[in-house]
Amino acid sequence: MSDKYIEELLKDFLRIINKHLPYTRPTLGELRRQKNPFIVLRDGSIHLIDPSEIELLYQYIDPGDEAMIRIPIIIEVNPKYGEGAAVVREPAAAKVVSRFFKLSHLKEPLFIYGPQINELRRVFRTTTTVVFIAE
Amino acid sequence: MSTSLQRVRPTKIELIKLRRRLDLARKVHKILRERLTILVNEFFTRLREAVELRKAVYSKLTKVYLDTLILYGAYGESIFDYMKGLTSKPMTAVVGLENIMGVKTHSAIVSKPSYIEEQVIPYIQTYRAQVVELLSNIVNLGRADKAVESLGKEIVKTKRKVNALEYYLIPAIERTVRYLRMKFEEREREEKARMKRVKQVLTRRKAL
Repeated sequence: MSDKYIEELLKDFLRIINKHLPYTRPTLGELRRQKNPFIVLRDGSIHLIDPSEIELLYQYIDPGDEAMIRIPIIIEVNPKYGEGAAVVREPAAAKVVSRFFKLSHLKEPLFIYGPQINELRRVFRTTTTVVFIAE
Repeated sequence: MSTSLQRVRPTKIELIKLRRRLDLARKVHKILRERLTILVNEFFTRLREAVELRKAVYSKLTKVYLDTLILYGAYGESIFDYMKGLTSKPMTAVVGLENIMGVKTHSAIVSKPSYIEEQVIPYIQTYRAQVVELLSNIVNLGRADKAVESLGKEIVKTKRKVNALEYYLIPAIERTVRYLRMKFEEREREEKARMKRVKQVLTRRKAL
């Protein structure tokens, strides 16, 4: 395999690693109004959203905040924060996540770690997604 | 571990290219390792879910089967037509795809049915609730099983990529960079020795 090919391959890894991100992120309110909620991803595929998760998210938001929260909630993984650490950047989403984990002090951006990521992904399987940042 | 060096011309340009490639490879390795960790955690979460659902399905299946036999024995085949007649909205499942960090897997979302309240045979309410829960669990078990399978395949692929980078590509580039540096240092030392020799010759000539 030529060196140039390997270099292209490595660049491709970085390019396609986030192909599971959505084209547009509808708000929580918009998704609740849909009969069968779904989102279209960058690779063209359709990702089904579980309506029970939308209802569960409603328990963690203030009334009127449904227009602020965009689904899926993005969990940002960046190796510069250290292994296993992730960030929830959006203020509305950070508020929801901190309420879910019963964190008294809300910091923005909100840092979460391995076990918390697992728990969040277990409960909000279709309404959260992980994005990988390479700097 | 491979001890091979990459075939490169010993020039400064090549060294710069190799260092850039090494940075890229390390970056990709870090990202892939993070992805692998998250995929493995996701795999275990789904596996636990699948095990729990399987246990629930097996325990409910026996109970529902026995209850069906009792109902069938007591009221005959017509009881099921009667129950069907009482259902105003049937149970449905929307089947589609779910994307778990780039891993596509089948997903299904079950919607609960609605019925007209039954007062004549009270046991029907309990029986129907059990059947709905069982069917819902079966669909969820299928979804969880499929996710485990897809995640397993992706983990194998990602692990191979991570290992290829960690044990082959990055060490090979590092060795080549080291080799080129040594080559340049050697050239520098040769150059110094040559200059000293030339200086000696010139001094000797001047003395004559």
